[in-house]
Amino acid sequence: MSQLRQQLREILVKLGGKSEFSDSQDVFATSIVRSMNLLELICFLEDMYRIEISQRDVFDGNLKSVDRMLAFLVDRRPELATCA
Amino acid sequence: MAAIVENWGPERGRPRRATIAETGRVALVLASLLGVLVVLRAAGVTTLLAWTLPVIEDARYPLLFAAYFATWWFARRTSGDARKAALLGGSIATAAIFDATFLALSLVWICGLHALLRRWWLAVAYVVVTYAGAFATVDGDPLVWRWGYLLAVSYTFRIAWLLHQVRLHPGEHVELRDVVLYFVFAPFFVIVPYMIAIPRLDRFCAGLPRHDLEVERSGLRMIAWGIVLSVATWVVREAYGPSVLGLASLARGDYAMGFVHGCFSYMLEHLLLALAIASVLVGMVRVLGIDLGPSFDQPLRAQSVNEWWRRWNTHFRDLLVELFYYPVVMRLRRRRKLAVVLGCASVFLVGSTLFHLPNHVMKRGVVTFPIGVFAESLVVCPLVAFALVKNRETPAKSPARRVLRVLTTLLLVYVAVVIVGRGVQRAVLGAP
Repeated sequence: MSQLRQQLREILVKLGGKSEFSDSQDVFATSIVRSMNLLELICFLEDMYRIEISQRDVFDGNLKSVDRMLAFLVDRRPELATCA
Repeated sequence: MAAIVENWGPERGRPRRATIAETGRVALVLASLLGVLVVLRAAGVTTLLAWTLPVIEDARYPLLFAAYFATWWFARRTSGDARKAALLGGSIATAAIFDATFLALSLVWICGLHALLRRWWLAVAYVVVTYAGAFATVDGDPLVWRWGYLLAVSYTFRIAWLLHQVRLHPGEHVELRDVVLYFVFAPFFVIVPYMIAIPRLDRFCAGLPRHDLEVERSGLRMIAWGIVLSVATWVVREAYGPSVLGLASLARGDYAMGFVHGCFSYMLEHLLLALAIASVLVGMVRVLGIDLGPSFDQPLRAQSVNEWWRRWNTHFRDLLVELFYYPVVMRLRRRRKLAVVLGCASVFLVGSTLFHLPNHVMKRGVVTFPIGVFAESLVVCPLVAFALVKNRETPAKSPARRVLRVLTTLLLVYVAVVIVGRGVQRAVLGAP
């Protein structure tokens, strides 16, 4: 498993308290991410990968699953592709 | 192979073919369901009113259902632009049967809105001026009132989604035909929706050019379920009649029994009726190929007020969350607790009150503040904010505890909405 993917899974497990979810699974539908820890997730991604996340990014479903987050991060920071 | 109709399956990206025989079977099922609804409406079993005033004459229901069926029939056999044209033609015919004047005024107004969409602030100003005009003429010409009332109850929520999505994607062109269809879509003239069945513009447009068999089938199931719930509500009303008993108890000063009957009336009549009408309407939208999720996600299973808010009226909730919650919490995301509390206040005290205002004004014929909704929000907002800040939901393990939690939630919602909300409204405005 790639380093980036592993990091994303770790933060989601820490936030949601569940480890049984696939990389394509909707983390909102499965209640892994809820109102409060969504903000934690956004702050984590912004601090860790030095990006800025807007409302539109959230509405467009970029944080919906591990796969989508991964694609989003690589899109914002192409150099992360080597870790993905 | 003329008997082959091309369709596209959901998210498979390849054609799914339906035979004429299959179309015939679906037509039979759909016609039967619509026929049952016409009979139930004529027999007084269901009102087909979704929290609105009776705006459709009794005699028009069979015609409206027939026009809706014809829309489905002609659209099902086409795809792409031809399908959009069929949906538009059928929807305009349905709207003309509903009210030709209303349709004409709507088309002029929608064209005006569409012309201004590229300049977002002008489009917002156009909407604000329209509402101000409707409020100003609220006790004037009945024709203008009717348009204003339907604007308030039916168009308000779709206007909000449209403006929100245009703001998020400023460069994207939205076709006039799609915008017209978004507002004058056939099902919304058979059951005029208030707060329920609010499709997002992007998902609505995605469902226009192709027919989806799975979405259609689930739509049929939802209509059937709506019929079952309508009959169940009628049985409760006829066999028990909690609202009548509640009012009678209050009239003789027996407030305890009034409370008990009122509680049952709210759960067994009011809520079930809302679920029934929403199920029929969302089903009708889905039968036309629009992938619109249910308006209610089994709210009677909610084990907390927070969960209730997530399950109750999901379309309206999504709208409020995107318009009023995220803008606040995203700005304050480094101060998470404050962000969530202010986000909730923004949703309940500002957003919900604002969205209730047009109906409140147009229904009463006077411009007053929706104090009842505001009072209700004052109760619900801290409960939801506290649960979100606590950020922990542990479902009850034993069935008895689950039932207790469900009943407590229903009781809290009843107290907030009926006792506090309607009570304050009656005390301040002298009307329910």
